[in-house]
Amino acid sequence: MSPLVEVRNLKKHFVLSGEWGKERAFVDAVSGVSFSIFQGETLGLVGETGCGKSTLARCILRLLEPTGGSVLFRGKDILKLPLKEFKAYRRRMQIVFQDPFASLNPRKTVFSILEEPLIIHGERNPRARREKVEAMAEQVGLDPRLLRNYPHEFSGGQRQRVCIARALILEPEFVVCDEPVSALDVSVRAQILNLLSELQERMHLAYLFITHDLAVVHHISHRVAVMYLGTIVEIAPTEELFANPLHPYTQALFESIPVPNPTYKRKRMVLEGDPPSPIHPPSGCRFHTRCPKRMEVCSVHPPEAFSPTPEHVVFCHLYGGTKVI
Amino acid sequence: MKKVLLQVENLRTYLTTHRGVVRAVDGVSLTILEEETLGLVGESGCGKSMLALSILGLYPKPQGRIVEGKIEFEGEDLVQKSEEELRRIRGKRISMIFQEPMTSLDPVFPVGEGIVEVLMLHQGLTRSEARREAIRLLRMVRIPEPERRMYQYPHQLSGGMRQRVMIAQALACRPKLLIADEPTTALDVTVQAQILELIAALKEEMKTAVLLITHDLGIVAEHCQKVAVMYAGTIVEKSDVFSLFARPLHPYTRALLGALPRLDGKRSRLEAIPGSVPDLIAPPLGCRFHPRCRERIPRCSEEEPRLREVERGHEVACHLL
Repeated sequence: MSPLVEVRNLKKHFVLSGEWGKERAFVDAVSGVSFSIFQGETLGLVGETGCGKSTLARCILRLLEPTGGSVLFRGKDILKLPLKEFKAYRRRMQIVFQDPFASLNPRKTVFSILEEPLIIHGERNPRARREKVEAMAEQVGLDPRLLRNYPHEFSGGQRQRVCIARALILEPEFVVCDEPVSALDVSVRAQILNLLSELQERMHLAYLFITHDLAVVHHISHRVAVMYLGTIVEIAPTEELFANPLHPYTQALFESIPVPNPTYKRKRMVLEGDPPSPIHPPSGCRFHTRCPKRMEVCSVHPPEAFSPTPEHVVFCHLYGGTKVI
Repeated sequence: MKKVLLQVENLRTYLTTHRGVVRAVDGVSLTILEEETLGLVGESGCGKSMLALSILGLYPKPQGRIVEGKIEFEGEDLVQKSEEELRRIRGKRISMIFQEPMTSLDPVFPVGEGIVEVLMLHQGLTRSEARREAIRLLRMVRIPEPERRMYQYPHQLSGGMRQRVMIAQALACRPKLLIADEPTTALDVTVQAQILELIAALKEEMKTAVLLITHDLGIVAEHCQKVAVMYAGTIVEKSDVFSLFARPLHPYTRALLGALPRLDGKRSRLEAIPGSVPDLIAPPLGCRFHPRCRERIPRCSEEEPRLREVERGHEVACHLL
């Protein structure tokens, strides 16, 4: 099966406004990332604040223009398309943002928020639009009678339902969920996670699910990619990654999660220090400054891919870096 | 048997807003023993932070007031204390660390200054003595190069470093009680693990009791001896940590645990709790959880259940038990 979305060596640098007469500095936010996503699949993307996961997602959707690399959507490189032609792809790829308070226009009713994508993408018939909006509201569990209300009249969970409805109303094939449940309470979070799973099944959606919450990613993803400072360090099917994490960063990340079971005894591997700045990222493997298992080679050469099984790829010198792809 | 350090009895803290009276803390009783860590869990808006602020007399004034109840700390009732008397207790015998160290450290002073101030005020040290002591404290919370860091401003430190400074400041006078209000919510998991380990180690060393407020049941399981579960301004279940996780008795506690995506279980559908947290201006009559409860009986909407000891050391407020 060919992938729905294929990301190849994607790069994004931000130029910092430098001081006079000095060389300009770059934020190396995404630095050569490759992976693919298949139809109906959820790829979880985990990483700490500032590791570039949101930038990566925005580059895939062309909400930011990447510095280099390519994004293939059903085999077509969408980064090379002129914006006019790209618009047709916009309706096939959508995004749900983290903060449902900040991502809805407070001056519009929920109905007009949901109607707008249809207008933009050429649905001229008001009755057809209304029917679609009402049907979509129903699908995400919003009472259609509340559509004339404004976002501030809704709770956090309901607002996130509105955001999901807005993303899905154009019947996309691919949806980026950027921390969609991080702002929600535990009890409401479960409702939204269940809803996303149901909708995926019903509409055969592919999700790129970004989060820093490992329990959530474990719950919802088919495969997981772990990102550190602009690079992917490990990618594998969920069960395999959680049973057999290979990269020292993945291991440390998993061991840092508090487990809601007081009888559970962990082998602690608390990482030292904070993630370094992406302005002058460490040489070689970017994790080497915090890695408990670092070797001399780690600070010199970036690690090559190693695949213990066909779907599991890790970038770490510990595994010799024999290229098996 | 350890001594009782803090005893909160039937505390009610109400806030007057233009929409009406918010009953943020509505009849809460809890006890913290010396050197013990009590976890207070609940969702946002359940009143857990307001409870913490009430203990220190830091609730918003004049909107907020304690309308009823006692807060007995080492035998003295804090509710009756004047502002001046409370000031001598805050930071010395009871300290607090907050969720976002960026907003709770003063941006216009070097971070060491806060610690120096605490030491001069409460311990009567001179400025140069206080500086030396502050460096020692910063080293204790494992800040590298404390001599240099102490003269930096909050924006020059990372989130984890800022929280370490807050901890150093809070523990400067070796308080008997440390209130930590969501101390790691703003931090990444790897940094969160560092900070929680640090708090646990220092608590051990200084024999401080901790009231740890969090919404994360994982943190409670790992770091607390006892737990109180709060819902809509009231405590619905209180127990030691092992029996709470082994046998959660209140439907809300059970629902909360069921709604949690687990790493150790299989990935089935989550048991979501229908609806959302009630408005504390007009909380539901009877049991406050009854509109969302799967096991409600007619009595739940009529009569408010009281906290009762169901098993040894395990108290639950539910009509079913």
